[in-house]
Amino acid sequence: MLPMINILTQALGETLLMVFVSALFASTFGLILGLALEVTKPHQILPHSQAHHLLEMIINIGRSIPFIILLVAIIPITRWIVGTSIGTVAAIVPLTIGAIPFTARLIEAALMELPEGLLDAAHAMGLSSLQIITKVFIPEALPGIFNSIIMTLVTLVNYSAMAGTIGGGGLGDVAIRYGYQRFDLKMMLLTVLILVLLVQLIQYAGHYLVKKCNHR
Amino acid sequence: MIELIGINKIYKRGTKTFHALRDINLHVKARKIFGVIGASGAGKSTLIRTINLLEQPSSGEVIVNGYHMTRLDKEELSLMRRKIGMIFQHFNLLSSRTVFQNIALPLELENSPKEKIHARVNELLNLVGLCDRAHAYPSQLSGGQKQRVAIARALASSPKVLLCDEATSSLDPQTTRSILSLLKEINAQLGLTILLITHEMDVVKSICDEVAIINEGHIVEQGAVSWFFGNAKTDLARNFIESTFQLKIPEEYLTRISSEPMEHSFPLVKLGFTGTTVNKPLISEASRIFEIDINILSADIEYAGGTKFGYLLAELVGESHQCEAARRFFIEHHVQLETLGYVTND
Repeated sequence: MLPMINILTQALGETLLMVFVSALFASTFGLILGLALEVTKPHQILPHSQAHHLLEMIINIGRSIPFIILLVAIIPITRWIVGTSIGTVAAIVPLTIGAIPFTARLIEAALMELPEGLLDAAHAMGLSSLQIITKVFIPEALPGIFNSIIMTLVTLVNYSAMAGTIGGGGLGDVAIRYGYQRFDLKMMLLTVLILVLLVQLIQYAGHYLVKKCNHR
Repeated sequence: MIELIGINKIYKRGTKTFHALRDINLHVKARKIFGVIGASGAGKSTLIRTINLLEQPSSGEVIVNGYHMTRLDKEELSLMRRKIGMIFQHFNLLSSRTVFQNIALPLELENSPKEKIHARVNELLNLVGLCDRAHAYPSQLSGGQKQRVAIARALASSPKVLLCDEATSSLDPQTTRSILSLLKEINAQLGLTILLITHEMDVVKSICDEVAIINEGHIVEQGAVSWFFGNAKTDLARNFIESTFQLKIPEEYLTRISSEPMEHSFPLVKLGFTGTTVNKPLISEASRIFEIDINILSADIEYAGGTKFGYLLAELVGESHQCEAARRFFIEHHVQLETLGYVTND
């Protein structure tokens, strides 16, 4: 029993590390990319069709590559960034890169939901483009942005199961190795249970946060 | 204060072009309330949006307070826009900010110190009568309250000009009246120049000094409201004016009316009071001079821009030659007179 608990707690720690650190980076870059995608549209504050199309293309490519392929394909980049291509820390790089386009799309959608009139009002008040982003777009879209981050976190929990491929460890890896490959049903059920609880917790905390900041 | 010279706005979508504004010339004098009225799609929204350059005109000059708007660079335009307040049909408040914070936003842009912002916002809350809702979020307010917040926000940086883009169109009649009287108050108290666009003649009638009618991108007619109600020449203008007056011959009279005079019948007349009508108590004078009774059936007379205008339906009861003389008397005093028929009394 004890070794089993040890395995699981260690795996949980690895999962939390991978998921939350990569979510932090993915949210940051996803927000920037999502904003860039939105503001470069025609009739937006910084219209630029070439830049917009380039971003579109990058995001579409990023979203179409299966995560397991990405994981292996970017090994040189991972090595360049963190110095190694195996282990939990190394897994954070592909997880982040895999999640960025996804998060960016969600954040773009959150921004698109803002009423058009807000931009008119902001222009009429004489806000600069930067002020429109910081004082209007981000605070007004905050509930949507939080929702995007929650979805990113849950997706990352899912992706992180594949991190075992490059020795990242984590609960998903335990489920695959002990449960799937060794037919250890108990271990399988336990890991899945922990994952379910983790996702529930993320959703619950997220909903609370969204509700807190939503005044619409 | 606001001058539009030869404004054209052409939208191009593929090979199709749409001429939204055609050679618009408009002059809004300082401290006046100017109304632009038109049906939807007439170009009035585009017109008001060219003033603070939310729409870039295709050609022509926009001059506000002596500044040529189209010649400003991006930064100068931002600064200039802070001196032009604007309110909208859908209020466009920030849902993430409280009433207080919404009004404070324009002041934050000027980097005013906190105490100064606080004092100014409270002053504005007082002006629009929302002191007790300072910490409410817009979603907790009624439409009228939201528009009051929008007005306070628009006034925060002490603009010289206020643009109202269909500001009362999504409000009920009672709220509309209260918002209009607030605008009138601001105009008088702060000496603010107001340009508003609307599709309702009642709005023009109740607060505007001057009015222009826009149709298919053209200004069809413009002038002082008092002059306009009496002298508008185009059918479109007349339609708008008539839309504000509800005058009907009572059902019961319709059965007793004939087009020719008969025995014991009295003329039923529609009297129109306009800007040119001699300003005298004409009804009682006519009654006295010609010894006739004037039986008013329906009347809608308003007092706006310093003159009274409107219509009334009345039966002239008396000797037929006296009634005839009374009719001439009205015409001489520039009352529009229309004889609708002759009513028999039985």
